[in-house]
Amino acid sequence: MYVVREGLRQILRHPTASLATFFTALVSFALLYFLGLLLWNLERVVDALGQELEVAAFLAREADVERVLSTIQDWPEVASVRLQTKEEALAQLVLDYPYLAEAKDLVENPLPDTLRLKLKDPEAVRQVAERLRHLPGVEGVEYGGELTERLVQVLAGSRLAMGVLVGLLLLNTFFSVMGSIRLSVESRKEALGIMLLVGATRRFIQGPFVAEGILLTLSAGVLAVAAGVGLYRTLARAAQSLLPFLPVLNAQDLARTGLLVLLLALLLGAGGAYMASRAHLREE
Amino acid sequence: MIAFHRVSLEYPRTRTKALYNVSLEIKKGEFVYVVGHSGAGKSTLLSLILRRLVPTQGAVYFAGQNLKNLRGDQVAYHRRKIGMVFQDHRLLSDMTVEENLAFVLQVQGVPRKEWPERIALALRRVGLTHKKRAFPEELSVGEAQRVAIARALLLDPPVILADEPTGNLDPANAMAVLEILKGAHSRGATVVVATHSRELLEAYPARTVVLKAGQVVRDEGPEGGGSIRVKERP
Ligand SMILES: Nc1ncnc2c1ncn2[C@@H]1O[C@H](COP(=O)(O)OP(=O)(O)OP(=O)(O)O)[C@@H](O)[C@H]1O
Ligand SMILES: [Mg+2]
Repeated sequence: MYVVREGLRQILRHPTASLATFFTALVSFALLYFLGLLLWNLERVVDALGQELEVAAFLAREADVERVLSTIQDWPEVASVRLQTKEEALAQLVLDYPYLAEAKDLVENPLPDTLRLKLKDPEAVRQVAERLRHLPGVEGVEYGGELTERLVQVLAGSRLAMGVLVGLLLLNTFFSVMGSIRLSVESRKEALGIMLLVGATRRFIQGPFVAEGILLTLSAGVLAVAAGVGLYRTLARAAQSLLPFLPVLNAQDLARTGLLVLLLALLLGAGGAYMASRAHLREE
Repeated sequence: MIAFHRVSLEYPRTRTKALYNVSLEIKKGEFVYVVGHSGAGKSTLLSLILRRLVPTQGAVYFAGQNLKNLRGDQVAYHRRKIGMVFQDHRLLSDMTVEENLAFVLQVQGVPRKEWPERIALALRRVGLTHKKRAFPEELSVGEAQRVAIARALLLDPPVILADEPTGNLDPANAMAVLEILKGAHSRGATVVVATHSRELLEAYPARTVVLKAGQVVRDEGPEGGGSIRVKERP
């Protein structure tokens, strides 16, 4: 096919620039893919931890339990609320510590009624706890999951850092593609001028450049995804042998994100080439 | 076939008024010379027909179509109806004669199996079959000019525009080039030749449009008789 053959020939005509673009694209896509996988995985871990995360609100003796309950149920962050009466709490306690069984009859039950909340989003835990604390009838709030909270912060931070880093790299790739294509256009200037004058369609003129851009970024994308899958698999296996309960991404997840990266590669290659070759269509 | 309707053209960057209020009609199958001093606007006129330029004022019609209204690839398809011979032959230096011709066929999407026959015919018409494997720099100026003409005639376009096709040629070579253009004309093509050359006009008298500083000052019929004087504008 003319377009692909011509695109390939152009790549070989200035190998240094082509390699520069190829490696820029490779690094960008590899980082995007691999870091993306790690973050996604981390998100899964946090999700799993979040499922366990529970906020406990201890109620005052005179509290209007029904009212507090219905108020909390209306909060959008809350997935579920369960009332644990002090009797249940005591029974649980006795179950956990059998030697208390005798003591429980001697004194009045000292435990408060407790509301146990599960959240939709673990990120909201601090905020919800704070709001709970100010609710009339609530005497104290407790939540576990310091680790989860820390992880959530790390996750948000890394997501931002990765977004910036990868965004810059992709921009770099885009301009690198444009630079390569500019070179091709420059080296074919004479021929392009004649093509225009003897009636070449825009597709005929731009096709080879777009093919060149796609060949460069897509080949880099394929390699990046292959490397990313290899590396991730190795890491995941090692991690799981240490912590078997750790959730990891399955082959389908890897394939789906890989395809996304390839699609992005295609768009960057084609887009950069299209932009770079378009200006030259307007007459020499 | 080709009509100029009160066409003015100003090159925007230098603000040069290259053509002023030119009206002109060229019929299908005509052979027309466009003459005038250097800078009179001959190349500009041909560029308007090829639609490398769009008039600043007025309109150029090609087969009834206002060229200004062509969009996108319509320009490409318009240019395929025209065989253009450039003042500086414009052959690609890294391709042989044969490849230069094949290039145009490829650009215009002619099936590959038709190429050898078309190229052979075009080279036979200009008498350069034996040079098909030469690169442009291995050709004499006259030969290069003939290859450029072969390229323009390659697909028998209905219109041939030749800009100074005999510019740097000795009389014998100039006559050879003229013969080729006459051949195309006799096969029915509309031919417009921009030239300084008196010899051409004498060897093959035809309608002659005289440009002076961007205006048509004379438009003479084929035999020199029936000369039409176009009123000059201040
Ligand atoms: N691309 C351009 N930009 C600005 N001015 C131009 C351009 N091309 C031509 N001109 C000017 O337009 C006028 C007409 O030029 P044109 O090339 O049409 O003349 P010509 O009759 O073909 O001359 P010659 O016989 O030397 O080829 C000249 O004054 C020239 O300087
Ligand atoms: Mg000229």
